Amino acid sequence: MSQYIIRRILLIPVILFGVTLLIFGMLSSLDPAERAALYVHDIPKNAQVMDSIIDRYGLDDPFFVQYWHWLTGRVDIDTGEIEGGIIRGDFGYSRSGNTTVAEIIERRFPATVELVLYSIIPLIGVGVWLGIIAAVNHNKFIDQFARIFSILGYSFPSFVFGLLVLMLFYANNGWFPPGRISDWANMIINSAEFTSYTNFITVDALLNGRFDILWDALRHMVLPIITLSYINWALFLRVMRSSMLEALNQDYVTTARAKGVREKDVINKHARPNALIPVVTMAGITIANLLGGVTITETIFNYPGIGSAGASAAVQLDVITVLAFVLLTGLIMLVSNLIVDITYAFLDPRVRLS
Amino acid sequence: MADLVINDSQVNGLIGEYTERKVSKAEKFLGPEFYRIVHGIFTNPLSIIGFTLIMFFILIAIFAPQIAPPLEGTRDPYKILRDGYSPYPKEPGADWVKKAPELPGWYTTLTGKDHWVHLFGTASGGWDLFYGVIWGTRTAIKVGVLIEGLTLLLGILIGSLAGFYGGWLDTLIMRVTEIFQTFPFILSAMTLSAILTPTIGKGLWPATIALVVFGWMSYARLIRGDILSVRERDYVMAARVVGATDSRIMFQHIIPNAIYPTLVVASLDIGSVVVSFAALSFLGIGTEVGYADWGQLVSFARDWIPQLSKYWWILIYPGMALVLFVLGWNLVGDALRDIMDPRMRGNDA
Repeated sequence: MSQYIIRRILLIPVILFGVTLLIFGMLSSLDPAERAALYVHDIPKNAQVMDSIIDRYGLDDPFFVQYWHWLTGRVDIDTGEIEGGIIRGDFGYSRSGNTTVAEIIERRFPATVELVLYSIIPLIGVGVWLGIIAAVNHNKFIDQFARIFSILGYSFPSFVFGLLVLMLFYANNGWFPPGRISDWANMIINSAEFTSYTNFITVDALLNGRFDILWDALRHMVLPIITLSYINWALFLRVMRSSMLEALNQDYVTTARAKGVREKDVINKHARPNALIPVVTMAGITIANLLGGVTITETIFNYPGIGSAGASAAVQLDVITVLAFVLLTGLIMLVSNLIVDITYAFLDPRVRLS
Repeated sequence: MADLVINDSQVNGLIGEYTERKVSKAEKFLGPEFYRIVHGIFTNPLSIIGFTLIMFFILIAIFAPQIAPPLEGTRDPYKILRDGYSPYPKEPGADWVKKAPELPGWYTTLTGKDHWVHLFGTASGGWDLFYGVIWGTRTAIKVGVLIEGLTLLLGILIGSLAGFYGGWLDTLIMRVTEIFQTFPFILSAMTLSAILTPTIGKGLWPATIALVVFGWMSYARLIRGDILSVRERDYVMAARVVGATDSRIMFQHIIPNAIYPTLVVASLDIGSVVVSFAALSFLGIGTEVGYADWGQLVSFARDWIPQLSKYWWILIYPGMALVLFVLGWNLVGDALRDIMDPRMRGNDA
């Protein structure tokens, strides 16, 4: 068990090396002038100035030299300060965001995290609940209905579903607007009377005692949450249903029934805990995926998270910015996969005790 | 002891029952395992609906020039027809203002009109949605088959190298697979197509290449697993003993026997590949403005979000085409998953 965890942790640097190498490979397919954005804010038009920048930051150096500098930063010849270096959190300048990439991440990441945190409960809870109901009523009407409902959800591309709910619940009646916050609330948030403690607007609004802002922020999140939930329910329903069906056929469930345990307890106390194990893995992966930026959903709802920033950077061919996001997301994936695997090992008695 | 004696008639009965099981020609032809899959698919009502949907779209793609004829003398039929440049969308049934294409044979009988109207309305800029949806079906199937085919090829190549040679090559390839799986799919595909677009130009290729590069991993893992089990079979050993070359063993003996699960999974992924491609072009990456593809048609609706209840047709028609197309593949895929799931076996529901 501990050997397994150690092996997994030791593998992380190897994979990270591969990921960064691949990302830098994509970066180096840009021409040196574009890569200058790694170090300078305004890319000069003048060819001579450009040449001196390329020279100064070594953008013509061999691949691995440049890779090393990109990774760890390079010492400036004149000032002696270290510049760049993704290990130091310096991803260069974003053309599409008009500031440093690190600042975009700092500003936008909390918005994504907030949205994801609110989505998790309906997303996983309802999916699992539907799966249990479907399995308990195996092949009855409710089972078929749940399956069709979920296949339909699974077939909706998120951008079609998102626009559809916008059409129904915003264009008609203005109930749930896109964006993150209304203009009037935004003005208050940026003013002196409002203190931002966490950058999660809902939490900050509560701490400031502004329930109107809390309500406004929640209203903006309703449609993205519905979209993310509906298209993911199918996945959880399917996994939960099949693992619940398997659990209900196990000997220990028969034993429990034979002892005269009530059916409700058989389902909730005997079958469900074991059936939930595969769901844990999937939940972890889903959350990691969501944290990496719900690119399309955020774009449709104009939600200022990391996903929509990535999308708009990619559309404007701002490769430096997108690749930083890709790296961040990859890192999140890597760490959460590790957490998921370890949790899985602890949850499953067969793995834990081996 | 007397209890264990079985008389002749009982034995005959048992044998008789066994020989009487009917094996249809189809089962003989396909083999029991594959027959079970095919039989399961064509007896499940949901997957029959799915198949019908897929066939429907294939027919539309084949007969696109007859259903929505392009203007005479156009060089690129995939360019959506435009009726003027009006910034406001026109509702379904509005008359063509500029030169309309020739009327196809079915038109007057089905609609009762003797001149072209915008059957599905137009988006802003005068793009005819009917033309876009019909020719978009061609794009969807073309792109789906192309991307899926290339992804599968790459996956099989990489996976079989790992599975066949094993050892350090296997470890290396599996690590590389893991590295690629760490990348967020849509974001990385977006990035790569953004990098590729300046070099190879706008069109189907940047998004296609990007989706292939970040999509092969699951097939590689799948085929590797199957090859690992096939590799140990006696007939592979026999081939080795008679001195067959590596490539002969690989292509004649191992791959043909290991490939089916991967092929089945891959063919059913066409639906989701089409969605990924549509998502990229929805975001404005990939094809040029005006190219008939569903993702781009849906993106026309993005300009009108506050007025969508008024201009519903921009979203509903292309959106419906996409959803029904994917639904078709998913219905078949879902049935297949149940059939292939060993836990559901022998349970005829």
